[in-house]
Amino acid sequence: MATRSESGFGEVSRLRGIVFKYLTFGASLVGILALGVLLAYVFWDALGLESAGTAWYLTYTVTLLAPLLGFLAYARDKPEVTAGAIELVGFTLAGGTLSFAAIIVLIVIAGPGVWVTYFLTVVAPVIGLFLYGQYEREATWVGLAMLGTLVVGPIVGTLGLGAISTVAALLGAPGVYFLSLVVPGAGLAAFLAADRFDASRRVALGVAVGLLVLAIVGVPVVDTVPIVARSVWFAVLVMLGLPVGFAVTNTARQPARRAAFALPAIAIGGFLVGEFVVGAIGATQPSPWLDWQFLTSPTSSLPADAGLYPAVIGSVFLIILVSIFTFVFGVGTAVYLEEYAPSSGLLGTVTRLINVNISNLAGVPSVVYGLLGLGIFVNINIQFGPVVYAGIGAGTVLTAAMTLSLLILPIVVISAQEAVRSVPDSLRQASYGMGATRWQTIRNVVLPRSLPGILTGTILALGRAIGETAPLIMIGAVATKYNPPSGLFDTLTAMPLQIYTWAFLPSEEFRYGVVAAGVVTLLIVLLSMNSVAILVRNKYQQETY
Amino acid sequence: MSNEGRTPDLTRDRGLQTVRESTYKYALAGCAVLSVLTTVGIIGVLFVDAAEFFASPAVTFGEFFTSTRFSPNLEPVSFGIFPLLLGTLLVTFGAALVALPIGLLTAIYLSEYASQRTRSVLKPMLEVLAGVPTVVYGYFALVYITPALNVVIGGVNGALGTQFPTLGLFNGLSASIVVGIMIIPMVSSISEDAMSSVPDSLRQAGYGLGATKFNVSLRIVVPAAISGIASSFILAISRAIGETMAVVLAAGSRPPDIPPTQSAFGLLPYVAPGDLLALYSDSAATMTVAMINIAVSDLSGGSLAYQSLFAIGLTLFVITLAMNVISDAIANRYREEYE
Amino acid sequence: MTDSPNRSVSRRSFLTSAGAVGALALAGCTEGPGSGTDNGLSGSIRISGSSTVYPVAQAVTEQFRSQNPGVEFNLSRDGSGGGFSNLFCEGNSDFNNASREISSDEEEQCSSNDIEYHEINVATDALTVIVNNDFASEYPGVTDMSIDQVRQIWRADGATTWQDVNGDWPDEAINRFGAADTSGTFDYFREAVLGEDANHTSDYSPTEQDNTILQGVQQGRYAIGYFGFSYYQDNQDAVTAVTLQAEDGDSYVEPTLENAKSGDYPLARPLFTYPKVSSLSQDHIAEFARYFVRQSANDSLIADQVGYVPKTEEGMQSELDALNEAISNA
Repeated sequence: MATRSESGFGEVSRLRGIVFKYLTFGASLVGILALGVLLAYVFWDALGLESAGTAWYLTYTVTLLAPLLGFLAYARDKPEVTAGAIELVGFTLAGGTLSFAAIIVLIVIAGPGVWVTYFLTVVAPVIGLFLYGQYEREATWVGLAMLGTLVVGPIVGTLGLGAISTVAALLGAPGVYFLSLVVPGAGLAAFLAADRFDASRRVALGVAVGLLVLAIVGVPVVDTVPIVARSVWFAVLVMLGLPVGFAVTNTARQPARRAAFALPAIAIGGFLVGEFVVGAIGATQPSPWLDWQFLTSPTSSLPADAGLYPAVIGSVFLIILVSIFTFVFGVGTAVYLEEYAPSSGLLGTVTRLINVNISNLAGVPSVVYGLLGLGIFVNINIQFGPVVYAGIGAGTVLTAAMTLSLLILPIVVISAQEAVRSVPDSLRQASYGMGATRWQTIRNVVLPRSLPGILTGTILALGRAIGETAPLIMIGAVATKYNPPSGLFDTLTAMPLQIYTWAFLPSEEFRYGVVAAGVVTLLIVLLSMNSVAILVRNKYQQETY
Repeated sequence: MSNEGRTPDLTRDRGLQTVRESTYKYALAGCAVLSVLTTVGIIGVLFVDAAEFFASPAVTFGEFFTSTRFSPNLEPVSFGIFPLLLGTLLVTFGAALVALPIGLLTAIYLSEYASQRTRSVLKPMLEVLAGVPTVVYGYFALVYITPALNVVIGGVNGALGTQFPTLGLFNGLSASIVVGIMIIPMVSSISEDAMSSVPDSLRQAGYGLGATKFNVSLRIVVPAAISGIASSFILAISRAIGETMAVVLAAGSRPPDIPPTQSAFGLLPYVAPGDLLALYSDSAATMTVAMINIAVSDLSGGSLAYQSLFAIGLTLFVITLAMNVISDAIANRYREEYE
Repeated sequence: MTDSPNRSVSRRSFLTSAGAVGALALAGCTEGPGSGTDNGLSGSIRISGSSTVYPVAQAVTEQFRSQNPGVEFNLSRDGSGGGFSNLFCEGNSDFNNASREISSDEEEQCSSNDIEYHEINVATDALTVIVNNDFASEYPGVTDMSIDQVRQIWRADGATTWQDVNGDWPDEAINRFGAADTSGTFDYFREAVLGEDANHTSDYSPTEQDNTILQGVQQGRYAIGYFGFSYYQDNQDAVTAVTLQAEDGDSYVEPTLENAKSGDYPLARPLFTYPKVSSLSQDHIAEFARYFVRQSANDSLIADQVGYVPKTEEGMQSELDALNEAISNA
């Protein structure tokens, strides 16, 4: 009897098991598919694909889509080619993000005077000390000197701002960026060539000189294009050129990966051919909301004139400040809690409480953080003796950045703690065994090993910060701004806030056109940030053993 | 540096070393203190204004929780948080209905069925669901999902002769759906971690007894990971409760009407399912929505109505905090089970 | 559309082209947002406050900026109250827009921080009472109402069915859609329709979103609602506007911009902006304030583009005189 029921059970359960397997598989696709459909709709609206003619679709299907799908099918079973393609695309996206950030921060927001001042007083000395420390391992004072520079440098810079920017004005903006970006970039290129690709000293030097020559050679060409200034050219050359050059060289050096070059060739070639054919046969093109005008104009009450420029700059400004704050404090907290904090006794209880506290802070709704920002940065007036603290302004860049930093700090701390914890204890013991102090162990063993994990976690958390809206509303970020923020104490608007402001406007053109374009822009910025995170994670996974 | 110079260096270094070691230690400890200060700041900010609010003679603590009307500026004013709680409850319940089963099934698939390759594709894609900004989800609900649902409802009503109400421009249903999609990865990733940490010996024992994969997954792995799953559910629900922008855009600014209660057998009060369903077709403002609305309202700053913002914020904070603590407690229990 | 592709194409060609070696030019290339100004005005202006006045402010700032590119605006929507208490009265903004007059609390807060302000009436919003189209065609009488009837509908303990308001109207429950009690629109409507001695009914669907009111009235046969004229202007076919009679014996006045401008329409709600007097000492702010006042009589901007009621020439002139006096005292 037992056997009979057993066999019956087996027969039924096979079908049941298969159904269940596909049920679970289906469930895991539901959310992804739903989001995919929504994204398709919003891209459709943002790019105005509805108005495109059949000929346009046919052309691009033949020239771009079909070859791309063909490449994907080809690369499917070739991990080397896939890796190469991911590296090429990822480094291009990452380079694009970097050059975009550099243009916005160094050129639009800071401007040559401010940038060169802090470059000379903070960035250059710190990099110099770091390099010296790498070269001369015995110099134990280097770390402290770097810390000191980070504290003293900004003060000296602020004091000397007037004088240095006057001198810098003689050099001109392009000169400043040439000296501060292209020259160090050439150094970096030479180092990478020698260190990563084992180039001889002569070749490495050639790479550096080549970059400098290319920068100068490009100038007259750039001058013919009105929207690209010389400074922008230098920033793009270094920030986009270096990563792309690195990825290209790396791929070219591995024969198994070389087929990956087909991807950019197909993408660019297919696009150009498609553009040519469409022009030749006169197919109706789509009329996108997301176009150059949208990205370069401020908002407007007329949908056709509305743009996202100040909000894009505001968001990027915000994200850069937030990343600095959260990286410093997040890593500091994680390292303290994992490496220093006592784990037993009364103080151990305090440590545990802090850990619990951090995990709870990660679950506090963002709107409550908005109230926190309102309470401690905006509506406050405290007097400590002669010092009066009256907040740092409603809706200013600094207020917004600090509020968002507090919001994502717990997430950064938790992921950094995990990364630090994943460093095997045997490595620490080995380091102590060789006579290293605790800090030396952290600096030379723990941090380098956990850095990729920390970076991945931080970038993903930054993705959350860039999309947050409720705290910005609470702290009084502005809804309309025609120019990007000019400094830390200027007000800002950010992409999600602009989307929110537009979404309620009654006009259909705003709701289905302008907002869709804003959403797509925000998603593209997020995507390029996450591509950096994925790159870092992939690299990390390759190197761990 | 050559070996010769090393001996004197050591002594000189030790002084510097001590300074350096303690400088770093205290600098890092300072960072850790920031998280404590944040908590203190949140509690302080919320308490100061909420205390002022509750100290007013026009408000009583009891009324805040029991009154069924939230109308801070409509005479006679009433600060009942109940309708807002109901709105939060509606959206959260709807979101849980979407996310918990899907998230759990996803976790089972990823942990028990998926190949390494599938998992490496699916997991990052699921993470994207949580990475899309909430204001974008709200926009999706407002301009795409609500009209689409209305088409579906119209079709169903036409085909089956049912009387489902069509959705308002702002409605609880579309908000629930997007919040649900948003929290799927929370459920799936934490549950999957819990399931993956179930020792393989348990599975092998199950197979040894002749169980099928289906049985092992449902009868062995899921029960063994139940505390992790429960903790993921609570965390996801807590996230849904605190969700703001998606709900502001999708659910509108009016709290749901409190449905009429019926009574069964003369004593058991209940709400008719039809009434409950109707609530989803209409605007369902939550606590978070009310906070945003008050923050950008025309109410004057020092007024009682404006301060109710902080009382709602405090309530929200306490609720989410409690859920996080419970989830932590449950998760800690399970961590100890198999380690 | 072809801008960005062109850019990437040309960038590629820079990289490949190895032309003549150009020296590093020292001059030229000013970057960042336009710093050239037409009449030398430059500086930034922070405007906070009501979301009702926001469209007016946005339209006016947009125009002003096209003539004075050196002036930067920071325009936020914090609500009249949030704007006053968090920003304006704390000295953090130069203008605060308000859809109601400044309250006594706010006056106190401002004066305790030594913030002096000047009140400017920039436009008028004609609140439009609307009913369902089918209802209006079945009972044409409902499209003419006295303020007293509107009061009966909206007061607490007032009418519950249409029959209670007028015996000829159907015995159907009134389905009300109105502004949320946190908004300035609500405050105005309560004061203008109900007065001091009656309470507003709580039996209505409150919302901050005009389109919810529109949809509610469109779908509810026996529904009534009200919102700003601008919204009605865009949706004239969707609902029917009610003509209003202020006092017994007066004629029924249609909600139109002309009627509101002439003062005949009873539910005309003034919208304000409050410049900070100390800020008016700065040229660009004073000039913008004057411009704002002058534009308040601009029909094509205020009426056609935004949908509010512009000021009359005389009204504008007297505001301008008052403003000029405030500026000279600043």
